[in-house]
Amino acid sequence: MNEPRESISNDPLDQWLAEARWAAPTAESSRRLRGAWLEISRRRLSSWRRGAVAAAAMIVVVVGVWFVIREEPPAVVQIAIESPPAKVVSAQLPGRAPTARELVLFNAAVRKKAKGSESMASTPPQVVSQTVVSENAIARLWRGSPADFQRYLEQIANSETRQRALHALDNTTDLPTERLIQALAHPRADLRVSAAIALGHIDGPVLTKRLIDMIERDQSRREAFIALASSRGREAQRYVQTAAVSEQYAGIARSAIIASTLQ
Amino acid sequence: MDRNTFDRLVESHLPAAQRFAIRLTGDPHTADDLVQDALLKAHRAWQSFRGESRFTTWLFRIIINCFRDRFDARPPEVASLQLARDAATNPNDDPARTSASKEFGEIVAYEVSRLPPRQREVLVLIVYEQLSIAETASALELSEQNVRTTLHHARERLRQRLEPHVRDRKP
Repeated sequence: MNEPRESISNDPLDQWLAEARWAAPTAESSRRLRGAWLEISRRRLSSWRRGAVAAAAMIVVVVGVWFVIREEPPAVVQIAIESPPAKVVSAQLPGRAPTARELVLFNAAVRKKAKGSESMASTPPQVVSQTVVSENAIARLWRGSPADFQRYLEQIANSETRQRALHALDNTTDLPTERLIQALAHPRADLRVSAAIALGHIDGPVLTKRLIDMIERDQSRREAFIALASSRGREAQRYVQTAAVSEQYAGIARSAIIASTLQ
Repeated sequence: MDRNTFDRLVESHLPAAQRFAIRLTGDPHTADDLVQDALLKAHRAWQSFRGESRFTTWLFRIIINCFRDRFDARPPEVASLQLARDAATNPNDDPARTSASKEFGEIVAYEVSRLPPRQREVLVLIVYEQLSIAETASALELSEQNVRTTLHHARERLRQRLEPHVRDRKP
């Protein structure tokens, strides 16, 4: 950066200072900072909207409860019902009384059947199949074209779809690790962070080592730090904590820790 | 001030924030990290800007606080002069400029970025960001007298360091 300006005093030092020449910010770094600020503002808007929706829902619930409470209860009509005597179903087979072994086997079969219908009732089949279909659709995105993969990263960038997009990674052996590593250099800052978060979610010792190598070769260093900071692995966490107090990486490591906690 | 106006103000001041951070740290990469930290703080503290000072002064104060957080405990490893020269190379430079004056400009920048942190803050704000003594005192939470004294010491230190280079300059 050149700062030519006229000296306003006779002190030659002012002329010397006016000739100072620092490195100008690159277009890439300016773009990244602008992207980072837009991302921070956008997340603030999302959380504001979530808060507003939650507040509106709370008001509706409170008003609804108030209406229910203030209604007069209907008059109680007393009806005497004579219930017929319960029919006792005998387990006796015609012909002869069951043996003790037959009774034990019969009761075990009844219990097993009762247990089976309970577990079916606890997970409504409709919901399970919808979840599976949704995660399959997400998996197709990361296996698809570059545009599809970008849509996957945008799902992670969106706070409303992030958890589902990350959860889909838990149920597959066909992880898009290589594509995510390449996406650490994506032109869009928010999608670089998405790729980093996804890699942190995948975790694992081999991936951790690879991210550390990238840091030490200054390759997408900041994004690699965010991936490690997002990871639950002990080695990744230890590396980031050590870097955060080191002379070389303190700033970038701390910045990455902050970025990972904003998710 | 509403939040949308604040967001636009920050965005429009990003280039100035970057240049300021580069002058403080002497290194573009460290400056970028510094500005990112400052953006997070500005995002959280936006309601503390009440229009009593210039927005630049408010934003620069946040950058300086982040600078102090990073470097008070561990003085920054200022890039070597050669690295500073490499970073300052601009392909749009007028080739007619003498290499001696370009080199001297890089030396001046290097020496400014080597000043002790407080002297560097004061000098950069007054000389390069053209804040007044009063605005600088407000940004740094110092008295005006303290700012004047610090500026004087910074200038004398730079004079001693730059004089040998001035003698070596080609006319």
